[in-house]
Amino acid sequence: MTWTHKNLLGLEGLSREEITFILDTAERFHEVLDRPIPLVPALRGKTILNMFYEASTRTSTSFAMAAKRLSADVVGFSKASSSVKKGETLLDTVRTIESMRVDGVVIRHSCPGAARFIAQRIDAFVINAGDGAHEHPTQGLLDLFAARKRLGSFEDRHLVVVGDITHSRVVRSAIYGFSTMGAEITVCGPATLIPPHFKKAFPNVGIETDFDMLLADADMIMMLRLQLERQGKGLFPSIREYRKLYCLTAERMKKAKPDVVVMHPGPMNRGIEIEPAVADGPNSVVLAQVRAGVAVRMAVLYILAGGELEH
Amino acid sequence: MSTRFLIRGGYVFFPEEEAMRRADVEIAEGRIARIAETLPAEADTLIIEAQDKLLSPGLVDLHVHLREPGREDTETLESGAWAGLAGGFTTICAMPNTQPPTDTREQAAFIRKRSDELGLARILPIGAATKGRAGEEITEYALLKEAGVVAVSDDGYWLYSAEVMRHALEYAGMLGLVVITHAEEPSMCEEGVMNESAVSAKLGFKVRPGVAEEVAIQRDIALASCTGSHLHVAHITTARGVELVRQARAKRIKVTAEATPHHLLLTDEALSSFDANYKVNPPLRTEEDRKALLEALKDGIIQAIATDHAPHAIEEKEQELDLAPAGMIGLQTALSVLWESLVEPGIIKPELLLRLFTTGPASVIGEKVELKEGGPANLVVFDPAARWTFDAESNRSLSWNSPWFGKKLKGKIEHVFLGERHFSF
Repeated sequence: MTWTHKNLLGLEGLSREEITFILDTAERFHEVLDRPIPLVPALRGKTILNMFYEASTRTSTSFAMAAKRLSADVVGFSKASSSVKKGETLLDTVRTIESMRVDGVVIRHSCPGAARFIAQRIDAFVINAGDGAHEHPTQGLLDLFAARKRLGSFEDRHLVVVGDITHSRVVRSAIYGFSTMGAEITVCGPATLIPPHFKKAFPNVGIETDFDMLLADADMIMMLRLQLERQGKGLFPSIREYRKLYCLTAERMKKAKPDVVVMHPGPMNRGIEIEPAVADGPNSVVLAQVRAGVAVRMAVLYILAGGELEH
Repeated sequence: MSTRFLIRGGYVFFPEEEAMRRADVEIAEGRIARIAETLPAEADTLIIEAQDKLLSPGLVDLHVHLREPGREDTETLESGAWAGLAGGFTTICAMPNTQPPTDTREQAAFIRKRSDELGLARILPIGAATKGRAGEEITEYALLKEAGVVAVSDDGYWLYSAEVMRHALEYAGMLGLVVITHAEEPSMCEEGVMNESAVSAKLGFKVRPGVAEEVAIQRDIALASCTGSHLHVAHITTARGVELVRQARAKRIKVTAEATPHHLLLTDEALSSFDANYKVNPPLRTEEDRKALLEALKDGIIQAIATDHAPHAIEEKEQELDLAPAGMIGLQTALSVLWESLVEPGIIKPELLLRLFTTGPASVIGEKVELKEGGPANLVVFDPAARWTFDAESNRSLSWNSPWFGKKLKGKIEHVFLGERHFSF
């Protein structure tokens, strides 16, 4: 197929063919990761800039690794080490990087629309690595990749996403990605952590506050990280109560399908939203997700850079 | 000394009767000399042909932000007064959130004096309701009034303390001053960028929910009721907020309200563009809210259209939405965009729109608007068919943060007569 998008700002609007194309491309890079020297020359001579305005270890590392496995040059900064702290505006930062002539920009930012803001103003391609609570498309893709490996396809499969729905970019990208691929989706969490107009925004997505009601029917359960500082804002009363209502425990797993796929975008609060026995158990694809992350990001970088895949 | 003008063949809006009819208007020596169906042109008379054009008393804006003193790079009293004139406003009320704020007699007197010196749109200061706009101690309302203040408000902030708001109403009521409330309960709006709706649920923005406005209006109405004082709700935006005002007015509580052009024409769907020009406080609401505002205009629940003209520097606006300041400019575009979008399609009558721009707002601050023989010249000529582009050349403001900037608009102010002065645009 012919790829027509300059950037990857979100999964909203991507077709099933386009997502499948990325996942299939990622499959080929996934094999590369098994080689003794996991390196292809596809992006040799290209420069990728990682701009991380928010603390992130796994996503920034994953993108850096993906770019290096493609033989690209990777430069990057995080908020703590850049002039952002000196008060430079995003617009000035954009102009600066544009004049350095990079080929691609990966950006993580706390404000929705930040990746789009940059994409509208530079020639290089832009990959959104998370913009506030809006989207995190490569996370959605790696979730799809890891789940597809277990389930084969998504038709008539049911994804349950549990946790802080309001503040999660992961859930929004999951909704666009999984629903486009044919899955049914239900989000679950306390009423204080689900936006009041969520149903209107996503009419085909189910909403449920009782986790136990959903266990028997789920083919995939995605547990979201609980941001502990939300407690201070009065959004949930205590970890003890959250755990009682929403922790994916071994006990709850007994009510789930035996082959249910358990996902978590990480980093996990072990013992809060997911019990260690479940996180490390046979249903969990948490580590497969991390590995899938590198392959998917290689695929996205490769496709957006317009590379030709040999062999 | 001054020129005699004959404005011929236009549709004249007579505010007292709230009627429009074709008439010739003669202006001489800063006054309206004659009004009649047809007037002969005297010698030395400058004739302005106004067939298919509209004559109205100068418009009144209850709510503008002029950034002087403090941020003269984004607007001065002079540039704001020019923008007002170009939009047909001959009276504009300046909110007190300058640096320093208009919280003393001296600050208010400075604005009045400057306004007189300029001789452009008349700038009426609104005094801060509390010292430093800190929400704690009320300012010297009597001295402020003496210096020309027409209302008090901590606009930008809701008076969080119910006790302070009660005293503000009591004290202002004693002096016949109106208290203008920015009705948004702030604990519900922290860091909020847009309305809470299906759009925010999709985009992931932090929110300023409509219920925050309801909560604030509800409390303020209770306090207006108990004090008997006049409460004016600035930039009302929600269907339920309007309903609260409707109920209060039915109980004869002294509550008035204004709506902005942007809340009457735009909805929160605009934020899908991630364009910071659509970030305003209170935020753009839903289509349902917008329709409720239009109904409230027709029912007389909302008495005034006010622009909430809020200039911001481009470098402040061209940022991530979370960081960009809220507000858009509106003085120069208000009449044009509302005429084209509401009057032309027949959604509201021209007489109503002009009332909402003239006698409506004037009555909130206890002023009169006249258009009659012998009265002072305070008159604008508007061509509803004229096409123009709101761009760097036509813009009179020092800022250009407006979603209409760069757009082709229909309907233009061509002349303003204000006392002995005549401006053409």
